[in-house]
Amino acid sequence: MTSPAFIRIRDLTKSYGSNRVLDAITLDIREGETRCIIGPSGSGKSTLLRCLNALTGFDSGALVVGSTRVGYTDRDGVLKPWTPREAASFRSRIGFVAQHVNLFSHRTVIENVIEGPVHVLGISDTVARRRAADLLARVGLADKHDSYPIQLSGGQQQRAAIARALAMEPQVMLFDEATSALDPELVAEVLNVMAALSADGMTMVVVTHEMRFAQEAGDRIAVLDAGRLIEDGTADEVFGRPRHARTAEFLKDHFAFSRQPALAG
Amino acid sequence: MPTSPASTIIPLEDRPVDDSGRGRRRHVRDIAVWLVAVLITAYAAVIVAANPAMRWDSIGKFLTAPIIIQGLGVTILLTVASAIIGFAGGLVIALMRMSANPLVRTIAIAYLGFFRAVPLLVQLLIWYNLGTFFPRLGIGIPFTDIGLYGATNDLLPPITACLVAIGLNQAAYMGEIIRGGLISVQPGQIEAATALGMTRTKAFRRVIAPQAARSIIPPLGNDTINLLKATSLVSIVGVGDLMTRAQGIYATNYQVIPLLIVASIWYLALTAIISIVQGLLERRLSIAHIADRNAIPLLDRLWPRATKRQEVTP
Ligand SMILES: Nc1ncnc2c1ncn2[C@@H]1O[C@H](COP(=O)(O)OP(=O)(O)OP(=O)(O)O)[C@@H](O)[C@H]1O
Ligand SMILES: [Mg+2]
Repeated sequence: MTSPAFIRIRDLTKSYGSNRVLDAITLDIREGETRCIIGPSGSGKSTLLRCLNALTGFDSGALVVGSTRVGYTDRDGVLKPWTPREAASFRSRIGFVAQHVNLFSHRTVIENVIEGPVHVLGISDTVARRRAADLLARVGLADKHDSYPIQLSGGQQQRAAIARALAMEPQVMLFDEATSALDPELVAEVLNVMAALSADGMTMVVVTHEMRFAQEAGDRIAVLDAGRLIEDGTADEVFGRPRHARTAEFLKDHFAFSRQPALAG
Repeated sequence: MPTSPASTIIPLEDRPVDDSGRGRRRHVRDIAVWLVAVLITAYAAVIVAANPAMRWDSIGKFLTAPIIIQGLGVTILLTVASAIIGFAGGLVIALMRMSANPLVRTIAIAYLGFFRAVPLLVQLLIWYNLGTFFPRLGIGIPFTDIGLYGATNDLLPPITACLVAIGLNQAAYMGEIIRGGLISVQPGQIEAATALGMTRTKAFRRVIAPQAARSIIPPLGNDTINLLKATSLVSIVGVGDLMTRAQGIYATNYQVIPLLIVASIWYLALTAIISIVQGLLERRLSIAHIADRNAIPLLDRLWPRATKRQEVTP
């Protein structure tokens, strides 16, 4: 618990119209940590994640990722809002895996994986392909280089999407319910890849409904409810001794129905 | 479906399947379709060919006559140039129509409204006769004499007037086709490109444009064929395209139908070229599942077999 916080979220607040989606969220995430975020539907989990990689802005509060103050550049002591180019350059350092698989449908698996390195980072095609081959082997898709997304199963597509994000050598990986659009039997293969990544020391923020994953791979678990952070602690603390009545309620509902895939290996 | 009475037991074990009838029925169906098609074509050919007004020799003579070939050149020039103007203009109109700025959007909507409402023939005549309305055209500072001006009829010779009219009209239709393609791109694809760190322009070039192109090509081919045929309207203002030349010839020798057939043969040939280019582009842009769909024979797509249908992934 000694390493300094890598992601620092302070009083982060965001509203859509009169709907306060994030209400003064304050949270620290250390380097190498896997932080799971759970909470009921509509509680603001996706919005928080989208703030973390500047896919959306926020109204007030502050957000620092690594050495970057998200959304603003310090020019002679004055914070200036990012230009689109600055925002894009920040996003290239943050990996993002969305709930609905969104591999580029007009490109093969390997083309998807080298797209960012070659066309955003400017790495040569040959080098990018070599690295992509390693990554695809790591996620178990060594034999699918030239398949189109439509020819893959949902689980394979999601693993390819993880490889595509990793190819950017991101500082942080964000997962937004990466398994909730998948058939139950495909969930484990994706969670296994994520667990391996977590064990390798990647800094990860994982929004999930998979409580077993949160318990076993998550270093700490944060619970959001109606835009507020109501709980933040280790799995034992959150699952064993929830401080907030809403947490207990959510967990009760959730454990009553959740499928609990085995985490192999 | 009638349910069988509870007492009837439908056996589950394998029975030999006699599949031969299905193949034979298809065969018979195919032969019947071909037979009808050949008969109708032959009958039409006999009626036309046996007509004494049908001068086969003049069709042969005029098909490659220099004057017709010149007209063909003008038709091709008009088609290609207005297709280019139409595509470039259409892209601008589509982007303006999708702009977040309401003023820009309104301008695009007004453009679409005007150019799609007024018949192309009327637009052609307007541009052609612009000289009678604005004798001088040019650019300069409003309400002063400072600027560059010239006589409208010098700046806008008939062929240019036609190009402007057809090109601007084409831009309106292309604009809607391109917009249709752009909105067909899944939002998730754009989000993925943004999350990878692409700027808007890069995301447009690398992800949005190639995906939109897939759905733009078929209506684009359609529209280009329409454009080719619409160029024949310029005969009204005496620009020497294929149709004008054919009319000019039959006005003197009265062989109307043979010359219209000459023109038709050339329009048919040009349309065939456009269709082939469209097919090649589609093949190049298609991905696996689209290729699969095309692999199903045309007749089967129109008239699916009752059983054993190939599954098509949407
Ligand atoms: N673009 C938007 N415009 C307006 N309201 C939005 C927008 N995106 C999200 N919201 C609202 O913000 C709230 C939080 O949404 P969010 O997607 O962050 O929830 P979530 O916790 O991820 O839910 P789920 O578990 O269902 O994915 C919801 O009330 C939603 O309706
Ligand atoms: Mg969500």
